[in-house]
Order: sequence, then C-alpha cells, then structure tokens
Amino acid sequence: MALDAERIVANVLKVAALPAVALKFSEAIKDPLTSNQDLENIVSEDSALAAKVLMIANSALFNFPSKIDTISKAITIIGHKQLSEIILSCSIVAMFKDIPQDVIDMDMFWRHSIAVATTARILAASRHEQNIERFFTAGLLHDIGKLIIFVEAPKYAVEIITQCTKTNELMHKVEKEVLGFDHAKLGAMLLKKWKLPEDIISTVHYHHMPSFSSGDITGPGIIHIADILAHALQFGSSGEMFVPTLNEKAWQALDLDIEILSSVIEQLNVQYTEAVKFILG
Amino acid sequence: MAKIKVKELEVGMTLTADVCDPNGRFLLGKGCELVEKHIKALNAWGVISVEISDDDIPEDINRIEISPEVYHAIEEQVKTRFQHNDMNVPFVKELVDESVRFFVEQLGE
Repeated sequence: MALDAERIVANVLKVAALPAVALKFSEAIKDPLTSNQDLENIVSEDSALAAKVLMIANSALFNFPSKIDTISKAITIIGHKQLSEIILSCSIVAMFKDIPQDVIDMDMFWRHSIAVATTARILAASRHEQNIERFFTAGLLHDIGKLIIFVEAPKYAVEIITQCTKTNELMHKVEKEVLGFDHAKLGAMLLKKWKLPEDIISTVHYHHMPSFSSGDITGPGIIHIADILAHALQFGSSGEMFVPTLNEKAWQALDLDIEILSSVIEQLNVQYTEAVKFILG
Repeated sequence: MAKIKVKELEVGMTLTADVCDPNGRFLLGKGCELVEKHIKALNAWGVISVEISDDDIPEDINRIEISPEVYHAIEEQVKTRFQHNDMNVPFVKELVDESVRFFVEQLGE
C-alpha cells in the first residue's frame, strides 16, 4: 500500500507549527517602517533563541573582529534578511530536536544537515551570491522530508533502510519504490504549507535532480554539491550509506573550478564544528 | 611552494602566493614577509591556510606517517561509498582524492 503524501504532511502540520517568532520576524522585515528596536523586541520574546542568534553571530561563520553582544547590533551587522534566515533555521531545528530516537539518530541527522548548510553557504559565498544565509537555511532543511518519514511512517522507514542495505541502492530511489515519492518531494510539500520562500521550496525539491528544476538551477545545484561533499566526508549521517550521484550539469552551472574543493573542505572543517556547537548545543 | 595552516605561521616567513579571505577579498600580496600584525589579520579575516616557500617550512612540523595498508584501506572505503558515481568525471575524481586526504589527516590528528 502506497502512502498518501498529503496526509502525512497534514499530520505533521497538526503538531509542528512554524514558530511564531520566526513568522513575526519575517513579516516585520517586509515593513519598511520597522525599526531595529522592533526587531530586537520580537527576537527577545524567545530568550533561548536570542542567545543562540548571538552565539552564531559571534562564531567563525561570521568572523567579526569585535564582539556582537546585542540583537540590534547583530541586525545592523548581519542584516535583516540574513538574520531572518538564521532565526528560521534555529527555530526549526529546535522544533524537531526532541522527537523519539527509535529509528533515527537525531544528533547525527542534524549534523549532516548542518554540514550541508555550512558547505552551501561557503559555495554561495564563492559565487558571490547575495543572501548566503538563504543557502544555509535551504541546506539545513534539505532532508526534512526524511525526518517526516521517520516520524510519521516509521514502519516504512525501516522497510526503506532494509531494502537499501540489501540492494546497495540509493535511499531516495528506494523511497520512490516503497512510498511512491521521495523525501525531497515530501519536504518541499511541508515547506510549502509553512509558506517558506519559493526558492527554498524548489531547492529542497530538486536537490537530488537539480537539472529538473524549472527555475534557477543555482539553489538546488549548490545544495546538491554540498550534500555530496557532506556524504563524502561523512559529517553526520542522513541514513544514506553512499555518496549521491553527481548531476554534472549542476556542477557546470555553478561555474566553479574543481581546485576550489580543497579550500571549501578546509573552511567547512572549521565552521562545521562551531555551527554544530551553536545550533545543537 | 607549500601550503601551511595559518595557526602554524611564524614571523619572517614569506608568502609565495596572494592571500584572499574566504569571500575573495584581497588581503596580502605574494612576496610579503610576514610580521606579527599580518598573522593577526589573517586570523581575524578567517583565512585558514596560505602558501609559503619550501625553505620556510619548519622541520618539526607534524608529518603524517601512515602505513600503505591503512592508506589503501581508507582509499577502498571512500571508493565504496562513491559506487553510485562515475570516477572518470573530474569533479568526482578530485573529491575522492580530497576525501582520502581528509581521512588520512584526521587519523594523524
């Protein structure tokens, strides 16, 4: 019996509403009359979140020479849009951090996602993309569909893993056979219900097949490459045993030199440790 | 020319290539003889490694010594995980090499 993807997403929505702070913040920055003080007030409603945002602003990800000790300073230095992405990322991880660990090691799952997010951010910076935090968010969320399968359909999740081990096939392909859809599609459906920006949705949807994306290939392409790197270097675990198949068109479209890989890995190694500490700690 | 981590740099070493920060911003030029404030700046801007002349490499720098058997085992493990990829594609080939090097370096640490 195949599963109904719509019903699974509806079940998730019942228990997991997007945190109010993240929504309020992204709404507030759309209004040109919003002051930094207004934004600071919103973030301060959730003191744990505010503390986390400050830690990230002070981490190796940003490398600012002086200490950022208030939210309004973080807003000025990091920027509205970028900070909005960081808040969204932190609150979504917090939301899914404490789910039961019977079938999946949540710590390892998020470590993989953080590695993909960090790598995506580094690749985006190398391409001089405008809002590199957008790529961080997309990286963090790219496998959220997998999480949903584990939580909402654990029996199917076990069947998928068993079949992967038996056939040495890639997980997203087995998911399609067993469920009729894969985690990328399921994740995109949830993000759509959460009304996240369209480019994040299509980035998550096409991260295994970037050249199928009808829009700009850059987003899915960057997450696709970042996912391959994170699997190759075994940062965390998404449950996938193998390095996903490279989509050559995606790599070519990014117009980056392969020589860059060694420096990307060096930066990742430093930034990953800090990102894990601040997001999961 | 040799690559060295910024944390291993010493005053008096000479750069053999231009140094940019991770976002491509130019910081120091080829031929620059490092003084204390250069090293501080490299750290502040998040530079992780730079190129210096072979003569400047300190002799006691940790060289990773690893048996050919262990190296081979690591290489095999990496290649197994890449079985869904075409090894003839330059990107894949480079990433396999970089991954092997990454795991060997981790073993050294």
